[in-house]
Amino acid sequence: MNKLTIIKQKGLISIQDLGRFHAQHLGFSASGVADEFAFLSGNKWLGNALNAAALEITFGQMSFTVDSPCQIIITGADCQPKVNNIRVQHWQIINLSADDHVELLAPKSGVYSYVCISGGIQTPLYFDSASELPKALKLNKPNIEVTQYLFTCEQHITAKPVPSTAIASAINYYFQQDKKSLHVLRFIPHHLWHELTTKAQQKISRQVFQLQASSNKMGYRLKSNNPIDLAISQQLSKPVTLGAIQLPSDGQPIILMKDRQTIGGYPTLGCVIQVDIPRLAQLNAHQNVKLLPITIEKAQAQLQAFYQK
Amino acid sequence: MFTPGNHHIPQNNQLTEQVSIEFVAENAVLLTWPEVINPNQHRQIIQLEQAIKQHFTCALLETIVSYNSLILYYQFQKVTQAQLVEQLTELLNSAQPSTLTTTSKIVEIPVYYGEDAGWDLAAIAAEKKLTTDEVIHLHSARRYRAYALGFTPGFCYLASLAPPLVVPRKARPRIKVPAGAVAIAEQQTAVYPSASPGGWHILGQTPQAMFNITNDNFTPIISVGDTVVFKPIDKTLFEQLGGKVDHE
Repeated sequence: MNKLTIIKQKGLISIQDLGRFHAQHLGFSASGVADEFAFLSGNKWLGNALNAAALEITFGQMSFTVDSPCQIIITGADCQPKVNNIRVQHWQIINLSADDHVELLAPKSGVYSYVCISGGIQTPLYFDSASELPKALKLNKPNIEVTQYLFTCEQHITAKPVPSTAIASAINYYFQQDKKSLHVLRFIPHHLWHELTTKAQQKISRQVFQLQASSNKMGYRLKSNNPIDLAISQQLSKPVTLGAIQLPSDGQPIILMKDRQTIGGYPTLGCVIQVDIPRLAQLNAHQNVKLLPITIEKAQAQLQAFYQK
Repeated sequence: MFTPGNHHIPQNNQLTEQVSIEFVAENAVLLTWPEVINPNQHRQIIQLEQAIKQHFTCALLETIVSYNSLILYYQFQKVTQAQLVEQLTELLNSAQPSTLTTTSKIVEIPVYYGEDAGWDLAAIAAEKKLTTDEVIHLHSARRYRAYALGFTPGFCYLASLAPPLVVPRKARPRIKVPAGAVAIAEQQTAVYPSASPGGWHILGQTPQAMFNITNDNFTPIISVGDTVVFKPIDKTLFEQLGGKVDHE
């Protein structure tokens, strides 16, 4: 086994993969990477298994070394990475030698960055997932120092550089905006939406929402000047999905993200489509978004295309 | 297995008179029963879940049951909405309670209801104009049904409380509720399996772990459908059983 050692850490660093979808019936959050697009792109270009575990870094500001030659790629929020103090390219294969020092600065925009490493981070799986479990469960097995991560690098120095057109196209994914440069979140409407009058629907579709600083990986909180009044409040708790747009009694929507609980009691207006979740995950507090309904058939077609990219 | 059909999705989104269906996400469909906490209705939901697991093996990813609802996560590439609606309707109509076995058990949970452990016991008693002993009796004299696992791993929603104990959630949730806290909110009661933030009122604490972990297997003490009873114990027994009171 080879080691990746964290030298400096300011924000959160966690091991993540696509999450543990199959343990939700026991109350485990599905969890997993906040930004599937950045994570999957990194693994694909590195030639890794698509679900190979990577490091998810929140707001950059960290550095690390490796004890053996390997290839890495840093995707997601741009932390202007440096190797031995020399600027290297974001979203590009980086060849590291033993003892090279990699540094990530605070991103100018975005939240989550991914360090994917050849062969993936090696860690015990729990319910088929490497994603870190809530600390309170005391289920994690700290068989190594927390600042060290294991990987195996043999025969993994084979990834070719990523073409610049592919990098440009990846970065372009994050800028799906309307004419007024608002981020558009498309959603699958629920019963509640269909029960609204056309006028009420139009009002919500035209509304500009601001992402709140209190957002976290469980839920992203939106706020607008016109709270959505649905005349329906708490109901019996029901299973909730990734992207569900919950409406608490104050009428300010909460969009459920990767670390969401498995069931919840607030009524839901709809569900932000999965293709738009990585984009949303990378938005910073105070950025503006709009909600736009689309059909479930379109959402499914988009998702299928997303995973085939 | 799914078989292709020409059936269309009913416009009113009803599978049967009692059950409505909603395609809530790309890969998820939510079935909803009437908005009540009812053991018979819940039994039907669990039975349908078991039937779904037997029939939909190829496209099914995960099922989660709650009070009056059931979600199916499925591979949308493998089955159309119309096929799913048709199959679910068939299952609902052919469900024969007697042929589906449900395994449910009775779980007894020892609770130390001392005021050092029941952080909100005195406040609830005062608010409800009851003595603390009456609150303890109302809480421990009843059998509860386990309706859903969620919130945190091993957290099980139990219902229904005796009507005099029904109380809204705390206006401001606590930052930290200790592991083992036995608490109430609205018609429900539960044990916090691990320390977490929480807005329920704490009546006592249990020394009983709410899940077991062996060889990477996670087994909750309470499963959905089980019956749960709370047995009052004194502080000496609480400590003998390995309990250590968490003070506020």
